[in-house]
Amino acid sequence: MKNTIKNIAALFLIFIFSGSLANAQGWTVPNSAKKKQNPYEATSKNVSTGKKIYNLHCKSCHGDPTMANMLPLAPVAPTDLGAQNFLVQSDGEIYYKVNKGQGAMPTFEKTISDEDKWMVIAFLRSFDKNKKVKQQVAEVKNPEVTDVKLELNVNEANKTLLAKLSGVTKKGKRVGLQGIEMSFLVKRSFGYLDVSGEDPYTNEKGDVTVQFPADLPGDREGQVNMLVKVTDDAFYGKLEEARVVTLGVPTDPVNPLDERAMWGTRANAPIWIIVTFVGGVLAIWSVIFLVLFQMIKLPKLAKSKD
Amino acid sequence: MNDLPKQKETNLSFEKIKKDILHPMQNHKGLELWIVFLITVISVCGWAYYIQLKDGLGVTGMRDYVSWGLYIANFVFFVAVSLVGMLISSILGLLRIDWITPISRIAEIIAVAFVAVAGLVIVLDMGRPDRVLNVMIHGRFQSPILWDVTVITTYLTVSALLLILPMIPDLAICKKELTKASPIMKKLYNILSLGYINTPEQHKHLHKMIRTLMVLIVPIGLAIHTVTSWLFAATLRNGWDTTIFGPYFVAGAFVAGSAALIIAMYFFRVNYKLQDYITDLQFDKMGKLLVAVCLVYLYFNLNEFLVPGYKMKTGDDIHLKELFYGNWAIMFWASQLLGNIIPIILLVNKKFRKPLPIMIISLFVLAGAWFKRYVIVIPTMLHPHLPIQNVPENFVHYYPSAIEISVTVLSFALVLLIITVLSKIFPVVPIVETAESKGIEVKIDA
Amino acid sequence: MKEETSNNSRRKFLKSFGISVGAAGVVSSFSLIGAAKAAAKKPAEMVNLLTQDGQLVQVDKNQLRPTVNEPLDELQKRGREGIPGKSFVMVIDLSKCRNARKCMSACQNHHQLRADQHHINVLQMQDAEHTAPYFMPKPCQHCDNPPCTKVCPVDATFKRQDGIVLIDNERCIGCRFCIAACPYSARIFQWTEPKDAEKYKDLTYNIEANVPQKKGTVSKCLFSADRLREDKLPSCVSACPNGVYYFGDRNEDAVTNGTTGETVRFSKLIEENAGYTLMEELGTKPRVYYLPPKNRAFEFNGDLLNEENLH
Repeated sequence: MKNTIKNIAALFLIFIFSGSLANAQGWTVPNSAKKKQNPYEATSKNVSTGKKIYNLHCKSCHGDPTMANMLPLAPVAPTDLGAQNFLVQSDGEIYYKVNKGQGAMPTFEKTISDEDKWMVIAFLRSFDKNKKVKQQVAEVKNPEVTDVKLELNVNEANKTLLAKLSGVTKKGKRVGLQGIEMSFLVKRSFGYLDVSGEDPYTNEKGDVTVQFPADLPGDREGQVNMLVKVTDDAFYGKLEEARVVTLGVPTDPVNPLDERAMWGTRANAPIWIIVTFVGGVLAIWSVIFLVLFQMIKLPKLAKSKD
Repeated sequence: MNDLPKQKETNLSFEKIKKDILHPMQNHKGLELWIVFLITVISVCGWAYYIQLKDGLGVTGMRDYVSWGLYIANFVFFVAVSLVGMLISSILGLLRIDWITPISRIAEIIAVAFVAVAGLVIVLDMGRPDRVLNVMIHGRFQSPILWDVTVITTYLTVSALLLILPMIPDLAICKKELTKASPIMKKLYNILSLGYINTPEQHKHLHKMIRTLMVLIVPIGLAIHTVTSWLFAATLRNGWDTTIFGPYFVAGAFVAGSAALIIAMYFFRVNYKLQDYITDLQFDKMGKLLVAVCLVYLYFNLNEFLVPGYKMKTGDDIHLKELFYGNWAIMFWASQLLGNIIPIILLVNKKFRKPLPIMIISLFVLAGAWFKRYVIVIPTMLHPHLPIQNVPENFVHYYPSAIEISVTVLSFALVLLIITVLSKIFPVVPIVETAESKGIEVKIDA
Repeated sequence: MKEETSNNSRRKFLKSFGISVGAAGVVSSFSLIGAAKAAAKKPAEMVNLLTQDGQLVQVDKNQLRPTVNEPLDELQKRGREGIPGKSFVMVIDLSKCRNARKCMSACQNHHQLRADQHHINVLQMQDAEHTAPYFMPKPCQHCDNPPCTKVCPVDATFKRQDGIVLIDNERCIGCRFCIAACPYSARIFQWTEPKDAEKYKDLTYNIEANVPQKKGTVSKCLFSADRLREDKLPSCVSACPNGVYYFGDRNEDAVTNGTTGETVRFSKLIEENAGYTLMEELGTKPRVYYLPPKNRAFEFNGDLLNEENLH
């Protein structure tokens, strides 16, 4: 009897302790929210999408999951979202906290779509050691391959890009790799613009076609630097191809200094103001000098009458 | 038509005129003491400026929001007063108004002194006065400051010429009559008088040149204060972003200048004992002139404040509330009432146009003019379009510091010094012109 | 007119959100950028450095900036020319700003500024009596019709071909006409010797960073022109932890977010979020675009309670 009471007491304490860990920041989640479940399956596609969204919105403060490289803010540092003591929370709890925000963490209720939030949760869940369901769920269609290659074809006439991802099976046959997300990126001054479109996943032949935007400016000849890569390097490592293509709109940069302007340098001043100033100064000062010159004649006039 | 005492029929002879006017130039111990006093003040305040040079403009009360303060208010004031030269000797001179004859030189002396120091005041306000030549080397035609510098230099030159040229006959007299003058002064009179002996040809020649300059200075004078007003009107700030600043400033300049002239007239009349020349008539006429220009200025003020006050646009509303019944109400209403409205009411009455009353009223008008310019410069800077936040408390107020006040005193002392020196070495009332206007024959020996 | 003293209320305010300003403070005696966020992005390569007042500090090598090696006249020349072919713009997403002020401190570190000197200032704004208040970062707008360059008498402030308005503090005479002319109150003046003037005394003047600052001259936001030359985003853009800033080239129709690194099409960003410019009716044609605070990421909790705080 005594032992049972001790055990119950211990369990009770552990329960309180783990509960308080989860509520370490005084972030109480209502029970109704805790019960919510992830409506999306943990497919490799969803996990991959979640990773992309996570890197965009969460990584800047929370760092990489399980790497414990979050921003060292004080007094409350952001959590490592891949750690077990975070993932002990239910999907609904995590979803609630993402929506609500607290302190330095923004509310993502309106800034990220619900689907995107669940994708992130699916990605985080892939780090959960206690999850019984395997990470890759019933979607693995690609055989094991080596010598994975990325081929890029550009059709400049109708501005399309065709990427082909293929690998050599154990049997020595080169097959297309299906369902892999590809990124089509255009190099800009400070980063890459993603023009991949809605659904850039390879089809059964390993092909994906992307329509390049019709109105994206290029340089004077319409050239842009393209980078095509496999989005998630968890699949086949870093696989990319860079190429200069003439798919952009030829753009002549306008130099604001080409025209004369009131805000310009002296050399760029409007003509009328230069003329007015110089003309005015010359006119008035020539009269002044004329008068001065005439004044010098004054003594001479005295002599003429004497 | 006019019930003033008629001009005394001449018990004035040419000799008497010469004696009266030249006398104070040679015997005036009080004047010399005054000059010593001014130089002392200038030295002390010059040391204040040295501190400003050494430590930076941070020794003033100016900060990032009120970045123009006392110095700029002074600058506008000095330029304003200097316009009296153009008003009296040129505009009224071209119209051949003859009561101005005794006072036109005083007006020119004031003009030269004030515009010269105005140019200096601007350099005193600069953050990097060692780079002042950059304005010549790199000057941009599109900048109102370049125009301002150009016009000030031009106005100073032409005013100086309009001081000296009409004085040439008098300098010829000084050369002969001022026997007690030092050799340097004698040489100065000799050079400047340019061998004038009042031959008909010289007379005609000289007067043609003077008239040319008188015509020339009218657009220059109008330009100088219009361009100064563009320092404010060319910006987008509430209170400055208005179209009437040019004529508004010119009208205000006439008010300030006329008041300054009346004060100077009184002091020369009393100190130099020139009652026969700077007579009650001059004060009476100047009083009427002052009423006229004050009325014009009042008209501009009504437009400048009532029209935005009617609309209460965003930005204007806070500015006007502060002026009408906020933190600036006292200064605003004092400058309007004591500096403009009450003087008008008083001066309409002949009794107040006597020398002493009108001098006292002019003191108020001049002080009001200075405060008016302070009210133009600083309140606008305190109400920018975007809120003033995340800065120390003292950025939101402006109180001139001791150094700023010292440098202000320095500039006023310089002005007074220039006026004093000029009135000591030159006859303040034109000798030959006075004689000619009374029909007395003038004879100048070679 | 309620005012905040620079440090105390800021610390108090930030503490309430659990943010420490310690990170930037350690290395501020050197001319380094204290963007702690950068440490989270790449694995930090730490180096030991001795600062000029004898402190031994560990610094992320990514944050070090070498002093310029070029001579003065070359710096001046390329500073006036600008970066050809570019047309820089900034987009500020007001729905994401929570007054963290990392942008302000990163900028002040970069440009040798005191805490009360702002090249970028985060203001509490309330447009009209019954509208909701919000935080608004306000850098120099680098206008295409700049009222400041118009009035400069010596061409010390000028616009270059890439759209950036710079100040040449080798030429500025300190007349402060440009400060009077700017309707955005974007400019400041060095009323006394600049911060740490002794330490920066021997550096060559770099017009694209406006460092070293000079007493008696004007200073303002430069869109971090020195960093742009190295294809880096401006200090404020990189330092923001909340995704407020986008910066890019209008000619390329692309802007990059300083927090997430995402590059988006400028025209699409403006169209989808109803972007606007500040005080457009003044005709200054700013290059800083604002996205109105719809779908806010943070609740507003400034101390703006009544109209007196507005002016």
